[in-house]
Amino acid sequence: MRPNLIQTYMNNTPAVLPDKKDRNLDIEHVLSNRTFIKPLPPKGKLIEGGILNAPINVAKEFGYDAKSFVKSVKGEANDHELGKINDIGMKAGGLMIAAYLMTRKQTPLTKAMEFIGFVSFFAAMSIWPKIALQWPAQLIHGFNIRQKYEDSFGREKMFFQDPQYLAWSLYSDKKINKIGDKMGVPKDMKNRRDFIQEKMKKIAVQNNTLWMLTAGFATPVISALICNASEKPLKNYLDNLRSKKADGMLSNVSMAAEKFKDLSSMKAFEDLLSTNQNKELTPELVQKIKDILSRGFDPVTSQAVSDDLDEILNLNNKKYLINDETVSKIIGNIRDLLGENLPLNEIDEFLPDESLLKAALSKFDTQISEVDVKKALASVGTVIRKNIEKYNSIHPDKMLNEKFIINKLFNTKIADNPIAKALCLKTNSKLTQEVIKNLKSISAIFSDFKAKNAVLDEYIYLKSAAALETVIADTWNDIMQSLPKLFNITDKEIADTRYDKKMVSKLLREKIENIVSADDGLYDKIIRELRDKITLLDSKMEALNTSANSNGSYKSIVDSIYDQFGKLFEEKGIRMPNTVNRLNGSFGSAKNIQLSFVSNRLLGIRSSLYRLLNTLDFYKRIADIGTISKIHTSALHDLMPREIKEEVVEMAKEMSVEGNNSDFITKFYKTRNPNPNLQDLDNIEVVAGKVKNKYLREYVNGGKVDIPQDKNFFKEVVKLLYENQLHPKTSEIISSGSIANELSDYRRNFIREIGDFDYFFKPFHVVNSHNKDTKSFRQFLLMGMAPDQMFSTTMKEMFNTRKWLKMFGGFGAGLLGVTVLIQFFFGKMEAAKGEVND
Amino acid sequence: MISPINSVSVNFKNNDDAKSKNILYAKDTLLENNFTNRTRIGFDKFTNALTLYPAKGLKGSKNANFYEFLTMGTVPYVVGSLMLISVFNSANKFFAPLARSKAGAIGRKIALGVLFYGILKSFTKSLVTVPVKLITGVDTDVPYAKVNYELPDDINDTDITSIEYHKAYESKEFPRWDLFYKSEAKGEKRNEYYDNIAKKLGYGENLNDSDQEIKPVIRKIATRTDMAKILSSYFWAATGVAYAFQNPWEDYFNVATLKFWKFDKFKHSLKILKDSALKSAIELYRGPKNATGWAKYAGKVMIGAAALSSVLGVINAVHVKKPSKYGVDDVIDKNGRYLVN
Repeated sequence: MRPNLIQTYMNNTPAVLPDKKDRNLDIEHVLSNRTFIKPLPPKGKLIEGGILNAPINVAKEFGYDAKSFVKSVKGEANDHELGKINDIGMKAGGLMIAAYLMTRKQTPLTKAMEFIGFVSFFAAMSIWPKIALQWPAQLIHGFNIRQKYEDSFGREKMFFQDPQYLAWSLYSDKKINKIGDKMGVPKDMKNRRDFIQEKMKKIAVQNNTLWMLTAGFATPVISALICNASEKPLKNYLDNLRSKKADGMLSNVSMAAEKFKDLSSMKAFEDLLSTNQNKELTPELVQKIKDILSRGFDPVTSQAVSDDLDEILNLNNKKYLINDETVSKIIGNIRDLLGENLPLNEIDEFLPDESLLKAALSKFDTQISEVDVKKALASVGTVIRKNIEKYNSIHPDKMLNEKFIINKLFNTKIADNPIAKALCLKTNSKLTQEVIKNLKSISAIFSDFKAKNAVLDEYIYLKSAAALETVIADTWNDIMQSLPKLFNITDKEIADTRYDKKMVSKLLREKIENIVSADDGLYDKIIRELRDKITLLDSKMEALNTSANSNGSYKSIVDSIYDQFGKLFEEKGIRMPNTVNRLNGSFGSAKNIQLSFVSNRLLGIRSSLYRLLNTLDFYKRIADIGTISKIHTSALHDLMPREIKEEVVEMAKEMSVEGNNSDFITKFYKTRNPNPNLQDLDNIEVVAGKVKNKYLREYVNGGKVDIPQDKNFFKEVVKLLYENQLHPKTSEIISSGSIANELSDYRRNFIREIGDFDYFFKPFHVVNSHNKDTKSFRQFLLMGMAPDQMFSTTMKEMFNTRKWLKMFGGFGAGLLGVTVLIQFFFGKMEAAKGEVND
Repeated sequence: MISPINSVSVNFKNNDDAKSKNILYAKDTLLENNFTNRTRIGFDKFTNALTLYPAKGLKGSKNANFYEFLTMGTVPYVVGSLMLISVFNSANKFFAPLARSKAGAIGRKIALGVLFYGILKSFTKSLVTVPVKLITGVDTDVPYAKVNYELPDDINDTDITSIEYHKAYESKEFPRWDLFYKSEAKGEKRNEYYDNIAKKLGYGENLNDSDQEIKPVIRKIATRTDMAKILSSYFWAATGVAYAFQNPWEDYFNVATLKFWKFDKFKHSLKILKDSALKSAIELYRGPKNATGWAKYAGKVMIGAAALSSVLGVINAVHVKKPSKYGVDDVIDKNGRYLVN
């Protein structure tokens, strides 16, 4: 048996005197009262935290973490505080990873997702034990297995973390008994509290173990699922932000332009001008001025700026100064050049002396023009030639190679000629105050224009660039992702066709035929939704619509910026005709490029959507073959043999779903019967959206061939698709929206620019020798994306996401189920004999 | 006088008994911090975490304790790592070819990232602990075997001991000071361990109570070392992940094979591994080609932060206040009055 220390102490009087300050302590008195041996009353308590307290708790935890860190640095932390360092480290490390990976990503969404990944991982770590363990256990066993408590020192701990040390005194009898009631522990049991406590402890140990065993499986999966779920809302949020930012920029271009103004360059330019005031305009200085002013312009505009500056700096009429310095420079340059091949003493002997050269140049003015430079060059040449001849006559033993020397000195470009260089050394053009004033004005106008242009560029980038995460790209993606569901394409169909676009084409055709033939309102729904989506796209791009010249539209702002540019020069009386024309001219100007970029982007996207709409409508018209209108067009007219009709419809069906740009360029390679039955003029028969072909699948003697010279065939196909009136149902739905006109524009343009037989050509087959060309880029844009391509791309992405979700979502759900189920078997305990009254 | 309760309160047997009965330890025993012991302890803890402790825990054993719970913390680490790799790789094989190879490249980088995270997190701890030990003589990682006497599960349960492996300085509030005393009965110097550290820290030799004087200092060193060790290991681990995400690794992924019996291919893959590792290190440091702004410096910042955390951690840990060379009586009271001849 252990000795009772208190008893021992009382039995043995202390031999050592108490400390100085305690000398007056009456130990006997204190001992008889027994007050000091009582432990301090505990201050611990259970923490009943609600969700409402979460922000306060987070702030508290943060404060505690900071305190722990400081105490750890000082080396004064206790175990609990030091334990917090691990949490801090894990979070700091995670944050570092997220921040690093963010720098490797290009777009706002992908950057933000790195942080979502970081946050979701920690969220998953704390969510899993709650949903899989704490809450089910609460329901099954009636108590919180992850109960927290605050100990007497204010440290927050998990109540059940150490089963060998449980502060049961924190649970009141009432509370324990209530838990016992829920557990079904008999009310009249002896030592009921002990039994309930044991049971709770057992359940907690089992649950904690289960937590450790499952957390590893669950955390990455839940984290990934959180990321998956948060991507779309985050994307929408960023979309909105981007759209607002862009609209804000356009609504106040001048203010937005401040950010893009290169003030330091302007200042540097002004410094350059003031240091060179009244100095000669050397070629280097001119080049510097040109470089600075044309910085940021495209090469064509830069050339225009350069041409205008020549005029402004009066360089086209400049004169070169001839004086003594010119003569000595000529001699020096010749010596330098010939010195590469001849000894200097020989050169000096035949070189004309200064007086000779002066005499040769005396016939020119002291200021010579560009033309005179050439003449002066010739005069100098004559003098040199004479001198060489003279030298050769004096030294017949070591004659000079006259041809070589003359070649070397004169057979060069004028700009590289050593003598011309000396002649052009000094000009009369100077950087006068007047010129400086003009240059400063130009710099200011350019700087303002460039900054505003940068705003426009940024605006169209955010709105419509062919890049990830622009307004137009996001809207497009939204529409694409909604299509498979809209067309009732099942997961299995997506999985089956994911490897091959051809299979998607077949599936899509099948689907459309079903949709248009069924009378379940799906067709109406699809047309309505497509109409609404296109309207939405239009509304997001409203300001960019270059045909709209309304106040505040992109076009009106581009117009005003470019027009103002020309006007400002006019006001200042500075002539910059080349630059203004290049930027704001009628044809091929920078302004037109600025506008056409946007309209082309919109055209490509709209064409794709209208094409899908038109394809659906066409299939619908075929399904209700009786509604085919024959008023305006020869499509499937009564005189067309049935076999040709079948071929035309088949071709149109293929072309509308699959036809891509190269197919159109070659007007499709289609094998047909060269000798069709021309007698049968019946109509085609259509059952459930599909043509019941009488001739098309029949064997043809000698085989089917492509008939490129049949110019009417392609025309008929295109007319059927694009000229034939819309199905009444489609018209009705479309007419209630704002896109009716746009759709008919699209159809008309297509017929005019692509569908006409006039430029029907194939490689090696030119018909009618017509070449009324629409630019291939314009054709490409009008064509839009083939529906099967749209679906194929989207379905591939969808398959990947769904496959992953099925795999890991399923796994997560299964894990959750098993984890919860196991808990029903926890806490099984037999009461000891005699503790339960029978 | 109230004497302190000896922390080794239960002492049924001594280690000689243990040897004769083939039991590993019969009482709490300080172990040497060497490779063999570390491996053995690591293996023991790992296997127990996967087998014995879960079995005890799931049964709700009355002997389950906090040590076992903490040791089981390895399980989510290991399983979670494998799961994380799986999340990014398992579904890829069902994707269409182009998407598969794209997802595969990311998946393998994640796998490599998980691997580097683990490796760097474990091995960089010694960047702090080893210098601290060399400079101060305090080995904060020295392990000991703790013998637990459990309650028998039933009447036939005679094996009531369980061995736990702790570190002597694991708890900063209750370090196992007792394990460091030598036995005078065996002719050893009782305070030898504390004497050595006192000497190394500049407290001088032949101190009367080197243990009492040096314990608070050791406690400080151990606390600071642990903090630096933990924080820096996470920074290094993060740097490891960044390293794994460099593009040159893809060269290795394309040829990677573990089939060592296909000697030529295996040799080639090792060569590419070496190249990729080097190029990736360079890319991490310099940033990817054409990188601008932050992307250019992010790698340097990561490496710098990790290295700095280790270095500063060591400096902070070994920076303990040396005792004054002079006693209290040697110092002149500035406020006093003195006569100078």
